[in-house]
Parts: sequence; structure tokens; C-alpha cells
Amino acid sequence: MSDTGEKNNIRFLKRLALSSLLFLAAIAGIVILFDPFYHYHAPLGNMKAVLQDRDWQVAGTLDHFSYDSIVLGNSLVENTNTHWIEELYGNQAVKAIRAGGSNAELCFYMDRAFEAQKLERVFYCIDKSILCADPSATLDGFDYSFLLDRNPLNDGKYLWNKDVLLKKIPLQLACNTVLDYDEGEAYDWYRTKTFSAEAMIIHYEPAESFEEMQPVEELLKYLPENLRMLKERIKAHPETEFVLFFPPSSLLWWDQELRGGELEADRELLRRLSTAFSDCDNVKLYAFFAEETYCELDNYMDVSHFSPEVNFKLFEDMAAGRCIMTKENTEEGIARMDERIRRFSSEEIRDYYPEAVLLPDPSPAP
Amino acid sequence: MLFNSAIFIFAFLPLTLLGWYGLNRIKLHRPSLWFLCAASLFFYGYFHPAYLILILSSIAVNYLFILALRHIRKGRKALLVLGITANLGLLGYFKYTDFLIGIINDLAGKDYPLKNILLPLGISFYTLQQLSCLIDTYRTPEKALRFDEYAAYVCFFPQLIAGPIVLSDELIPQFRDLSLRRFDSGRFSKGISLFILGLAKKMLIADLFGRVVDFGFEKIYWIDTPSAWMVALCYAIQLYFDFSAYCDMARGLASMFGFSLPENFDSPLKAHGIREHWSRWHMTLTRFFTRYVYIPLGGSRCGQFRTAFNIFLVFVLSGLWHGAAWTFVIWGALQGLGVLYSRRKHFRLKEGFVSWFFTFVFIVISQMIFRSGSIDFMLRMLKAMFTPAGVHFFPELCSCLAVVPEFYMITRAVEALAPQYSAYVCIGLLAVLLLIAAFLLHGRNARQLVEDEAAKGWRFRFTLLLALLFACEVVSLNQVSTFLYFNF
Repeated sequence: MSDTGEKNNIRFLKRLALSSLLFLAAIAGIVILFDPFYHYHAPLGNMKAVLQDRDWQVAGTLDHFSYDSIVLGNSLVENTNTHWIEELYGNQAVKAIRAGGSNAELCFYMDRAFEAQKLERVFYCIDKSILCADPSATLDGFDYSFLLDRNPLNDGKYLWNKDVLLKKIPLQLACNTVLDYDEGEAYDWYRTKTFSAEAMIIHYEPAESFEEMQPVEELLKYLPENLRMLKERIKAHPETEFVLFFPPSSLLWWDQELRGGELEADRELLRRLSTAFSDCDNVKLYAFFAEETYCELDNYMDVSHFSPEVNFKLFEDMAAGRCIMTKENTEEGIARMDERIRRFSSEEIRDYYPEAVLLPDPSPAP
Repeated sequence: MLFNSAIFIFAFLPLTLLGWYGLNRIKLHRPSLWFLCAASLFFYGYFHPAYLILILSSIAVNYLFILALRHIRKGRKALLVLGITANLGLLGYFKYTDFLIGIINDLAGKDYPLKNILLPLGISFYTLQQLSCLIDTYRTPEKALRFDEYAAYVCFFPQLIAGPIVLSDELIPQFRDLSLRRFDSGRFSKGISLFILGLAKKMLIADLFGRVVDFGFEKIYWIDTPSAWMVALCYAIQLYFDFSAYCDMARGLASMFGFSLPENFDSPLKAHGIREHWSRWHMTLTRFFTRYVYIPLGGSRCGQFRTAFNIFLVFVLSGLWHGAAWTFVIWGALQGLGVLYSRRKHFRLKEGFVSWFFTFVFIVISQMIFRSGSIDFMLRMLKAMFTPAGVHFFPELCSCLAVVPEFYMITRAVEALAPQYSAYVCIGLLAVLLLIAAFLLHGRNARQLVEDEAAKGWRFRFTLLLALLFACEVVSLNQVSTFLYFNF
């Protein structure tokens, strides 16, 4: 090869390397500047926080936002508007949501929040699926796991990511300019859903028989460890008020539990929950039993997911001191709930499922 | 490992290049070949280490056959037959067991359970490559071959998984030529350019068309006439860019290591007949079947009928090689008929737009059969293509592009400002994509482009274009998909 050819080739390779680096650096710079997952910083200037990808954004918001309380939980609290918390409690809240999450995963988020901020309140939605989930669950191994660690070496997946560059940043800009975006509604999903008895009964088919009650200890095998993990954190942060609430469920969910033989375990779970934190002064425990708004099928999109109106009422009731769960009132609440479920499963369910098998003996179990 | 993955581009490739040139620089020529083998096997076993046992056993057994063929005088033919049977048996077991069980079940009305055997990556390619070496050794036993050379010839990673199907005479002399082991900026520059252009074809074009194709086949029960034609057209374009991309990348990578792989793809969609198409598409496969099946069967030396039969058989076998399903057999048979038609001296179309158009339509329809995967899907698509069935699904088909990151801003803006035009915008976007593809298909191919640029001393705008494409590819790495030819 001639010297000129060799020179041209070397110059080409150098230019290619340099210009590729420049392009890649420019892309990384844009991502760091807008930072749609808030991995590096909170929204710049007056920009709104656009939160629509919970798994990718929760860690960043907990690390970099300014707040004094968090809303922890699964999809049931996703429709909670953080502005309500400001109105009802006077707290600046961010949401730490894990759809279908376990207590262990949510405790990871809680720890992350405590590392970043001094928290006045933790609102934690503890339903059966959270409290009975495997306590060894972790957030490792997911597409977004690299955003959870603090290792800058694996940030490439974020800095050079087509979705981030062409979808998330433009969306962030659009929400800050032309679209009417409410920051308080982070991760909400209600807009595309229909909340009505008619729509929600499609998602449930009553079983044709009522199973024997299943062994409570087997169903609640993870509960002690989950309660221990939670209590450990409560004890470690006496200055923080923990607002723990067992969310409501539709009558169809309770019917499902009754037919599946899990109702006794649910009762026991509530009993244990009512006593678990009795020695913690910084805990307020709430449960929502048989009130009509909470049972009404028209407020649900499926057996367990309720409308934002229910979300609001939850927080309103808690702020007003209603629906507090204590060791003393739990049995009465359970009995009330039991009676309501049995009435539904032995009679009212036919309004929705004319062929449904009715509960043969509607008298409450001892 | 995939070529279109961060681990390959930013770790495996630079480290392997460094090791290869480093070892050769300090004159460790044989260790450098072992190093290349080890790196290639790491590349191969990255996702499924268990496959390493298979490929290593296959290499070892074939090498023993080669040694035996070189050294024994009697029974060489029987040994060759045994070697061919062993290779085809291995391929047959992994690729055709379930297909055969299905045929037996259908014919005998039985219900033998399928084995659901996972097809090891690249087995179709490395089996043919080893068969070619075995047969060549039988024909010319005097050629010596070291084990490290043979292993490197089979498992050299640029061609290991999806070809080209290289002959031992093409690659092994290059391994022996020590002058090729010195870093050559010219070869390296051409190689890296081809690799970047190939990667762009795959990630920025083929995968976009692939979305339309996948969506169309997912919704095959609702598909209408224009959608069926559009899906078939998009698949022809996707397959072209996908396979062409792989070939460019394979040749580019080999060139970065100083080697040259045979041309496998030469603008096949520009062909004016099916015979010409097959002289441009997957050229090394055509060569394999010509050398090792067609000619031994008698080729064109035994009369017209026998020639026609040989051609037809070769294409049916080629169809079966591509996949174990009746749709592949039908596709192969159609190709055979197409080639036979192209060979006719009478009633042939004059070379021009009409002959190109009919060839292209034939390719579009036959590749749709290739993609169908089952007779049911094939019939549904054919019915939709040839029986007018409205246009109800067409806007929905085009709307699958709305979520593609490249078009996201446009489609979301239209959705927000003028939602009534959303469907039209998606149709427009697909039209733009087709125009881009037509432009690229019509122009110079990647190899010509790179050769021209090298001759012009690598113009700065070309360098910038490559750098921009590379940056686009890097940001696209979060949407990794596998190459279509890995499935065969």
C-alpha cells in the first residue's frame, strides 16, 4: 500500500473514532441534561417531574427529589395524587410504587428514601399480597436494575438508549410545554380504565364450589418475617410517623377469598396486623372494612383495583382519624366484614352472576 | 453472542482484536490461532455453553475423518459416506426429528409426542462447512491440514453462526499467510466500515420492517388484501436487509482480522430472473449445493429431464435446509420451478422493468410462504392476498409504527393535535420507509460504497455518516433482536 493510502486510512480511522466519540458524548450529554429517569438530578429549573415509568424512575426520585414523606405500595396506590397529601397532611410526598411488589422490595425503596431525606411520614399500603410475599425478593435482574445501584459503569444502558432519547425526553418536554400534566398523578393508570360493576365483573368468575378453609399457617408463612422487617424500620426511625393501611377490596375479592378457602387466613392476618405494632408509638394503623363506598363494585375496575375517588377517600378518612385499626376494634371490624361478605356471597352475587353457586350456610363462622 | 450487542461491540471485539494482533506482533502465530479459536468458542457459547460440547465434538470427529481420509488408501469411499452420514445425522436429529414425528403422526394417525429439541445455533452452517471440507479432502487427500487450522476454519466467529459457508481452500491458506496477520489499515478501515453499514441495515432498517411483519402475522386472522401484500413486501425487504446486514458484518469483521470471506450477497433484489436471483442471494449456499449435490447428481450432463429433476431436487433440499416445515419445502420447490422457468430459452421476458417486476413479485410471494411457518398461516396469507377482502385492517397495520421510537414524536404530536389524522400519518410513515428502502435497494451496495470511498481516500462526509450511524446503532442496542438467519 502506498504511503498516501496508508495515511488516508489512518486519518479515516482516527476521524471515525473521534467523531463517533463526539456523537456519543453529545447524546450522553443530552440524556444527563434532561435526565428523564432522574438518575442524576431532580428536574432542572421550573421543569415538572414527569413520572410515568415507575420501575425506571422511583430510585431516581427517591435519591434526588425534595420531599418529607413517601407513599409506598403497589398498583393500588398508583392513582393517589400527591397533592392530596399536601392538602390533608401538609406533607410533600413522592410515590415509591412497585406493581405487584413485595414487602422486601418496598422496604428497599423505604431505605433508599431514609438515606436521602428526613421523613416526616411514610404512607404504606400493606395489602395481603405485600405482606404475604416472599421476604427474600429483590429488585435484581430486571431491565432497569442498573438504575438501582450507584455504579456509574453500567449507566451506558441509560445514556445511550433509543427509547430514552426519542421517547422519554420528548415526552418530558411535551409534558412541560404543550400537554396539561399534573405532577401529583405520577404513575397513574386510571385514565384508560372503566370503573363500573358491569366492566369489572368480566374479570371474575365465581368458583362453582366453596373450598374448605386452608391451613392459616401455610398461607401466612411469610407474614412474621415481613412484619419483622417492617417493624425493624419503624423502630429505627422513631421520628417518622408510619401510616400503615390495609386497603379495601371489592366484595368480589372477598367472595374469591371465601370460595378459595382463604378467608380465615385473611381474618388472622388482620388480627396479627392489629397487634404487630402495638408497642410502636409512631405507627398509625388503618383498615377499611365494610363501608359501602369501599365495597361498591361500581368503584372498581377488577376485583381489587379501585378508582381514584376511593384513593382520595382513603386518605381523607385517614387524615380525619377514621377507620383506625386497633387491637380492640379489629374483631368487631372483622365480624362486620364477615357478615357483609356472607350476605353478598349467599344472595347479592346473583345480581351480577345469575348462575353463581350461593354460599349454602350464610351464618358467620365462629 | 450477537453482533448487535454492547458486549460484542465494546468488549468482545476490541479484546479479541487486541489479542489477535498482539500475539501476532510478538510472533506467536500458532498461539494466536488458538486464541482466535478460543475467542470464537466463547462467542458461540456465550448464551448456551452446552452447545460448546456439540460443536467441539463435531469438530473433533470431523477432523478424525479428515485425518483418516488423508492417510488410508482402502475404504475411503465408505469412510466418506460414514462421515457424511454422521454429519447429516447430527443435523437431522436436531433439526428434523420433530418434523419427521409430525409426518409419521399425520400419515399413521398416531400421536407420538414431539421431542421439542432446541436447534443449536449455527449447526446448519457449520455442518455444511465441515461436509465441504470432508468431501474436498476425499477428492484431494494430499492437502495437509493442522487441527488448529481446521478448528479455526470451522469456528471463526464472523462466519460461524450464519455463514457465509466458506470452503477450506478459501480460508485456510489465509490462516497460513503470515503477511495477513500484520495490522493493515486499509483492510481494517474497509472492515469497520462494512461492519457499521451492516449493523445499520440490521438495526435501523430491517428491524423497523420486522415490526410490521410481526404485527401482520400476529393479527393474521384479521388481515385484509392490501395488508397481506404489505406484510409480504415488508418481509421481503426485512429479510433482504437482515441477511445482507449479517453478510456485510461478517465480511467486515473478517476483514478487521485481516481475512477475506467470500461474497454471499450481491444485490439480489435487482435480479431479472429467479436464476439470476439465486446467483446473487446466499451465493455460498448456492455454491455448496451446486458443488456437492447438483454436480454429483449429474448436473446438466444427463439430459433435459434429469437436469430439471436435479435442479428441482437441489432447491427442495435447500428449502428443507432452511427449516423443518412444509412451508420451507414448498418455498424450495417454488424456487426450483422459478429457476427452471428462468432457464427456458423460449417465452422468456426480455431483460427490463417487466422481467425485474415479475421476479420481484415472485420473490415477495415466495418469501411470504417462507415466513409463514405453517400451512395454515400460508393459506390464510395467500387467501388474503388473492381474494379481495377490503381494507379494514390496513390502517391498524400501519399504526404499529406509532410506538417505534423513531416515529414516536411525530405520532404522539399528531395524536395530541389532530387525532383524526393519526392513521393517515402512520400510512405516510410506512410509505416513507418503503421509499427509503427502494432508494437503498436501487443504489450501490455496501461493498461498492466502501470500495469507492477507500479509492477516494475516505471523504470526511462519509466518515461523519459512519460515525452518526454508529451512534444511532449504539443507542439502538437497547432493542436487541436476533438475526433471522440464526433460525435456519
